[in-house]
Amino acid sequence: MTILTLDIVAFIISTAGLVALLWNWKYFSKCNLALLFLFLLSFTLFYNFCLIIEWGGITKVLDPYENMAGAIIPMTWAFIFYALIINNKNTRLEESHGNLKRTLHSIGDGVIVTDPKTEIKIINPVAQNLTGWNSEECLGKELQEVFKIVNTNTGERVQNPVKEVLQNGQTVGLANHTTLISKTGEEHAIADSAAPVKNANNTLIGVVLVFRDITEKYKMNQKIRKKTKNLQEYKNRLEATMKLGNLAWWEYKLDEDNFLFNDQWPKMLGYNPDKFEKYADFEKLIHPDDHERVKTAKNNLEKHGEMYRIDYRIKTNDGNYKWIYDIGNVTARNSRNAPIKTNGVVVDITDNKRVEERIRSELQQKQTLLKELSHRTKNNMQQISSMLSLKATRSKNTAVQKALNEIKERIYSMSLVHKMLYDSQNLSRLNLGKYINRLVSHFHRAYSKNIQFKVSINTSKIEVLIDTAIPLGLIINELISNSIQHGFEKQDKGEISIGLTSSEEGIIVDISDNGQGLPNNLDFDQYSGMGLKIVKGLVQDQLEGEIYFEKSQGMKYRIIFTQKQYKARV
Amino acid sequence: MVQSNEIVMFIMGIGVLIFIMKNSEGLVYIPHHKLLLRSFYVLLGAWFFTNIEALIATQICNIAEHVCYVCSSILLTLWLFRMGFKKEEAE
Repeated sequence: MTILTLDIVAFIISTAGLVALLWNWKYFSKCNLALLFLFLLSFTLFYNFCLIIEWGGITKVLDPYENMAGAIIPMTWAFIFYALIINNKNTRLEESHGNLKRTLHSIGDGVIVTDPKTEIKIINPVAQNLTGWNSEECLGKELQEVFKIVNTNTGERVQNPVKEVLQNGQTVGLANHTTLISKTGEEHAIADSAAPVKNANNTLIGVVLVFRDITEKYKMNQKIRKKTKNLQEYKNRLEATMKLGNLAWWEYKLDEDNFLFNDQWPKMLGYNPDKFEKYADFEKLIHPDDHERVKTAKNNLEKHGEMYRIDYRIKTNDGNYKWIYDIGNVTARNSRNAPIKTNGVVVDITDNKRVEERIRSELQQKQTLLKELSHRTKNNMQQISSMLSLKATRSKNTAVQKALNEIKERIYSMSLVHKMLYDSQNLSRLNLGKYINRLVSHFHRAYSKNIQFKVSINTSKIEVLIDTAIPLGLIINELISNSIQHGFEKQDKGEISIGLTSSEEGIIVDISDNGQGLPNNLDFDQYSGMGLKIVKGLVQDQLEGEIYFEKSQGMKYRIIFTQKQYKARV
Repeated sequence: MVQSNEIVMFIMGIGVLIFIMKNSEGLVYIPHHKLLLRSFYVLLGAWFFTNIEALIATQICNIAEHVCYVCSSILLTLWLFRMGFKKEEAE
């Protein structure tokens, strides 16, 4: 009874299977499986039916397995599996073909596939676009007709790479500078290769040509090549210039502890560049006296980013020392503004140093000589002054005494210039303010009259040459002497003011007194006093300036002149 | 009693099994191939039981044979239905 139930269930289920088959009949027909399954299911149904009715006692008549009929079922299964495998293979082949076709259409390069006769069999859209031929036009055509390539530089026809592949059976790259001329005459710089297509037996069945438009890249390469050439020329020029100027460069990457330099740097010192790898190789050659100074400068550069310019001695290969001028600065910083790269140049200044040393020595000699000259001039003038003073004391003639004293004062004003030059570091210029102060102090001591001297120096930075100082000293001497002698004849007290200022007009010296002044009817220009004649002469001829005077209350003089430049006399 | 036709059927089934094993790579691409293969394996089991029922445990083997037929039918029907759904998905 149980077996009967099972057979009935199997029958029902197989019927459902038959329904499913009929439902998918079209699908299974495509796979050539519909009839096989129909047969299998029908036979199974029939078998089940036989099993069911076996219970009714008519088994012997309908048993399908009698006389080997049951062997049909495994055979049917074998056919089903075989058909499924074949069908699956075909499906996969179709899918693969579809995928290849889609890949070929999607690829960014131009692809042309030819047969061994170089007739085009496949051409993808990119290749169609580049050649200007559409698929329908060019399929079956000779490749030579569609794929016209010439040399970019000469314009001459280039051999078709497909022929080379057919001859050698190996992949070949296109020659450099190849241009593809399209059907419409457009030119495209192209690159890439042609490769043989072989079947499973390794027989050549065609050639695949892959190419891409590199027009932009080609142009860019041309530009890069030109720029590289220019850069190389520039580099060569720079190297030649550096060599000529005995210059070398260095670079230090702090984060990588990498010290770079050009060959000129060790060569400059007579060493083989291969012996130098790091900064320490140079550092140990620095003169011991300069070592600390260089180290401090380098530290300040690397830690604080302070640029340095330093000269130091460095040992050469022959054991001598060369003077080097080293300039270093920070050229790159990190996000925290800390130096990460420093660059610099070094110059051989040994010859300059020698010249400098010689000039310094010669200058020292000249300074000594000049000082000696000033000293002797001052001493001689003082002797003359002393002799004049002695003569004046012995003379009983007041006029002679006066004349001698005047000459003595003039000599003093000149000797004071030499004294100040001797005392100062600068042997050619002296501070005008200090000179006037000392001159006025002398007058204050020399004259017994109760005269106040007011000196107003508004600028302390006027330094003049001896050619200006001496005439100006004489002028001040004359004008103050005049004021003392003639301005205060009727009075014992008085005041003389001396002012020194600097303006756009030039140097201004104002001298004024509150004495009686000149009579109103006297013309200063016509006045022929000896002292004033000297003053006018000195201002115009020596200082090349102007003198103005005013006679309001006492006398006022204004002398304006410009700084004199040194004029060589020899 | 062992029947010659049942032995032939089982031997042929073994032949199909060998064919399946040799072409297993090609069969894995068949949609829901496991269902179909299991349907066959169970059917092969049925043929096995029908042969040994004459030798041992006749009653049990007979029941096992018929159970296998039912299971094989179920699996095959299921596969046929699932292929139908697969076809609809593809469409």
